[in-house]
Amino acid sequence: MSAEPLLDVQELEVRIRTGAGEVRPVAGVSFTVGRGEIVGVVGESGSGKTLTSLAVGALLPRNATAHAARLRFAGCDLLSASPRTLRRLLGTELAMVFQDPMSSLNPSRRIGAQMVEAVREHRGLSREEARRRAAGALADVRLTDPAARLRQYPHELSGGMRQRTMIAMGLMSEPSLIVADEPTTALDVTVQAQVVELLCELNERHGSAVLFISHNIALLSEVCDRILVMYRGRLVEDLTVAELLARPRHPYTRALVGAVPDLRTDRTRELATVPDDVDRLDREVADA
Amino acid sequence: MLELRGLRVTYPGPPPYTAVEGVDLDVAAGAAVGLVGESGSGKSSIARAIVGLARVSGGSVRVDGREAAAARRRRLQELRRTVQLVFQDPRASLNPRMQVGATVQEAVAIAGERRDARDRRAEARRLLELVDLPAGAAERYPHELSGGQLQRVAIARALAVRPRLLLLDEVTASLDVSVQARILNLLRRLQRELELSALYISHDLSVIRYVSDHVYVMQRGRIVEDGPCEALFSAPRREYTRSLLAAVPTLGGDRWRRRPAGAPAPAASANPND
Amino acid sequence: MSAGARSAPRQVARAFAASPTGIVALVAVGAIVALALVGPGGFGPQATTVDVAHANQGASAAHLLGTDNLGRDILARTLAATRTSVALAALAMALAVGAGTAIGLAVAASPPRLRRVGETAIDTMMSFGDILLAVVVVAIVGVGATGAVIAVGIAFAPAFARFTYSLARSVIARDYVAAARVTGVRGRRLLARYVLRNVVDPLTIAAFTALGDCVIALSSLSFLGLGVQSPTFDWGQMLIDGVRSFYLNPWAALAPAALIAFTGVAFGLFGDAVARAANPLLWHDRPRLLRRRGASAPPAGRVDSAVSR
Repeated sequence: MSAEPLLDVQELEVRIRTGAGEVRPVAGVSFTVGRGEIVGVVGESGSGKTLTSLAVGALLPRNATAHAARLRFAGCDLLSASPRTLRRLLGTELAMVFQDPMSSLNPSRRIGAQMVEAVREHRGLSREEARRRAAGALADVRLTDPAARLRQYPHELSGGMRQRTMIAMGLMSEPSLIVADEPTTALDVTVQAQVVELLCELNERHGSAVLFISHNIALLSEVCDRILVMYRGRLVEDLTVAELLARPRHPYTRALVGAVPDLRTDRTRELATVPDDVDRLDREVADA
Repeated sequence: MLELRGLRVTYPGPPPYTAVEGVDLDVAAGAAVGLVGESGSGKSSIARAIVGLARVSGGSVRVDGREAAAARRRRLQELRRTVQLVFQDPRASLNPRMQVGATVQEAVAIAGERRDARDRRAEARRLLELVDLPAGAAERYPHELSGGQLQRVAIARALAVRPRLLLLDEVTASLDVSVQARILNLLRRLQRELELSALYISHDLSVIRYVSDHVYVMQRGRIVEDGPCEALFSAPRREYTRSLLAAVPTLGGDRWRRRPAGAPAPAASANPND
Repeated sequence: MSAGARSAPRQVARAFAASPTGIVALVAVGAIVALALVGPGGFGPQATTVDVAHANQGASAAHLLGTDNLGRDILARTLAATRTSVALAALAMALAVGAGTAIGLAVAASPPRLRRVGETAIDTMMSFGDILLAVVVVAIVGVGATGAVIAVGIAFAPAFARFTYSLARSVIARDYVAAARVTGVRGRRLLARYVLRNVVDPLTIAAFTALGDCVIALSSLSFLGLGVQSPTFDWGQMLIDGVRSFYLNPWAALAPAALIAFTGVAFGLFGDAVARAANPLLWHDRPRLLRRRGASAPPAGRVDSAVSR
């Protein structure tokens, strides 16, 4: 008996109005995220992975709209929810972590002020209660001296610390899903390891599911239970890490795996390259 | 080919900031050397100092046996024909108001070997072909090309002056992985075919391991360790190098895995939000 | 990946034609230029014939805006003044832009110590008010059209120098200039191809706006009696008498004033439209959402748009 997935997306499409007509950078994307799962989304630029995550969080820019056959999150139908319900639900159950924390944090406000804002609005906590939670969240993400941090400004922290702050902000409301879009790309590899460690810990302790978007397939293979492969707005493969390591079915996934050098890559051979006509190969796979 | 001894690079500030301190580094003729370090380690400053974009405040830089630090005018001109630099962000390193063919052609003109405008144009096209760019690319402006294509243009431009040493500063960092693969393949091939020496600078250990014969590890302005590639990666001597290597994700590694790959997620009732 | 390579000028024209502001501005500027070309001669004797018997009359069938204090048709005279007003302003603007840009670029390209001296010099020049400086120059050079043009040109030059200097400094700091230097591009070629080409856009807008400002400045000088001298007349000159006889026939002042304002706005809009059309980066408007790796993401937080079926 399978429980309802935490996030259920069927036939998601994102449409954007441009001067030259309408484009659909995301089309026919369907996937689920179960409670407590860590699901990775891998793709290159133009794959639509960021737009997909924005669509889920109802954060698409003005000229873009999301259409789907089904879009359910935490037992609620996002397509038919009122804006108020939507805001409430997404404000409490969903946390988003972006690549560049400097542009997500308001540089002119202290960290404490930004952190308590969201949780006070959605949970109606008093200021003291909210601050206490904020300090607790900062401690959870292993920032030293949380009370002092609350009084600091974003620019006073390092990149890794800012990223943790973002995560802490998201945690304040105890979300059931954390959507992290390239959270470690701008960070050094050692700091990256710490942030990933943190996300895994949160997943284990709080049971938050994680939708981890990254271009780094090696990283995802170490962290995720399942990986979604996106290419040019479509979901080309949905596989477990075991399947990824064994032999992916789709040629794009295979090429992607072969193209990324890691510490065990064969130095004498050329790196695999992604074939230009993936659509044709796609049809081949479907016919097989 | 390249010899750095006790190199110190200081930016005037204010306040004055020493990005590189006491660095010894060698690139033999025809060799591919990797320089790896995290952000702020000073690796880009080394590249900039070699070509005269940053001030060398101490130590020596010998290119092809001759001193190049604090080079002026003529020496700088010569230096720039021997050593060339490819920047990290190709979109920022190409003049947005010049067609890419013109940019390469300009470099050809500076190399001075071809007198005729027609010859220069032909040479520019030959270079663009060398880096696997389609014929029509020469008339395009930078904003009309992709990152990977632009980086190829940047490489073509660098090659136009016939350098013997190529400095590649994070040249694939802003590119997609599939594009990175092509560029790395291209660079390895060009290095072999043109018998170039290369200094690859990157924060990405996997990339450095793939392209280099000899590797230097930098931390906070200093060289921490160096050695032949295989040796350094399989048996690093210094703690810092070990910690860097430990943090690199490997396909199918299990550093953070709490359950075996492929096992189902915990049951719904485990969720405290219920 | 890339669109067909159409020739640059055609793309500029296309982009210009596609913007509403561009069309409006083009029409307005076209009208002004047409009037200037027609010049005083085309409006017949009405503009200049003195007819004191019919002085200061209000609007009528014969004279749509009435007559001025010497019986001349105001409408005709105002339109006739276009050539003088605009041509002189254009000359002054050319002087200001030419001198200012040259100085700004030169200082921007200088070694650090010389640059600081240059910066201070420009700032000092700028601290003199426009009109004040112009008046001083006219006092030195002498009143009249020539003096006024030189004065206004000199008055606006420092602002251009400062503007060009700032723009040039920011361009010089870019990677593509560093890359060009590493390739071996030097001196004047570097300045022309790499710096100048990349500061041209904002400079163009500023130049056209300055044209409007020059019209106003020259008119002011003329109004003070320091500019164009009789029998030559421009809008500012007309204002001298127009203001004096304002209560007899307000059009004598309002007409030239309206045209001064109209010209200022028209040129400003035009410059804006031209600069935008000439910028290759704006030729293909694609959605900026398809970001490459490494670009920053939108801020977290607010729900902007509800998802829809």
